[in-house]
Amino acid sequence: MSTSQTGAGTAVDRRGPVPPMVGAWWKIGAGLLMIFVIYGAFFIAKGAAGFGENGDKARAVFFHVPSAILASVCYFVGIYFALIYLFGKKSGNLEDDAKSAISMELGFLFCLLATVTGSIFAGIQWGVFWNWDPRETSIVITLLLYASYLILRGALNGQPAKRANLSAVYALVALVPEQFLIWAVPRIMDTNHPTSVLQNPSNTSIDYKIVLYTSFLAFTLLFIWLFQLKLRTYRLQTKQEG
Amino acid sequence: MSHRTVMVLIMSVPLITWLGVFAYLVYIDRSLRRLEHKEKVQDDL
Repeated sequence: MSTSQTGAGTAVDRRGPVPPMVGAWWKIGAGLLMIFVIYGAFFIAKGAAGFGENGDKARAVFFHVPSAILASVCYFVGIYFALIYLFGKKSGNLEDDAKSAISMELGFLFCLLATVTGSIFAGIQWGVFWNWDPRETSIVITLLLYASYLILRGALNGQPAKRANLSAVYALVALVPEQFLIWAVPRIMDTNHPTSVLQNPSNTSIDYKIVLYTSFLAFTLLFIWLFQLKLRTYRLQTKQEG
Repeated sequence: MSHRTVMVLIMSVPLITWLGVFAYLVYIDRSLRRLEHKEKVQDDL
């Protein structure tokens, strides 16, 4: 796989969402970083205190936390492009709407990943895979908010301008409940979710933090890569249709 | 089974999944690149 073959150095890519992210180096880097995270999660990190023998029960955290945070970040990226579509200098540009939709689709994907990995963690730590803990309930509602957005777009498939307007407004309206569910609900209600345990520096070792922060980086690169692929596909489709 | 063996077995699940996903993404990336190149050649003509 050479740099010229993997494909990011074309004219299309230079118009991408993150201009310096050209070439294949960072994609290969994302692949290697993720392999490091997977290996490190089981053999480098010593596990967190209070999570069973060797801290094994907290190893799902390396995949769960970055997915959950990216699910929220994707929403902000989607909102950013929705605002540009509605109020930007070139308002009404359907490519901005496409960028917003791509972010939302990826947000749904990461939210689904966070839900599944969270459920696995719950099954190992609490003995049941689902017990309607406030955090579990809030992520399911967030997942439904994402799903509603995608269903709304699907229902207006033949009307691009109307679809773009309505979905941008929906994204803005749903921002408040989405952020409330992700950040506020688990903090104002009693929950088993171990955020405070893991945030206490004395409960995790330095190798645990290194693997976790590398995981954040790997997942972020994965998000950028997926975003670029979807955007390039959209541009090709638009060009062929037009 | 030793603790290490169990960890290797569990680790193999996300590792194999990721290698599959990575290979698929590279395949899509290269396919898109080929299409983009084709479009560019047609535009130049």
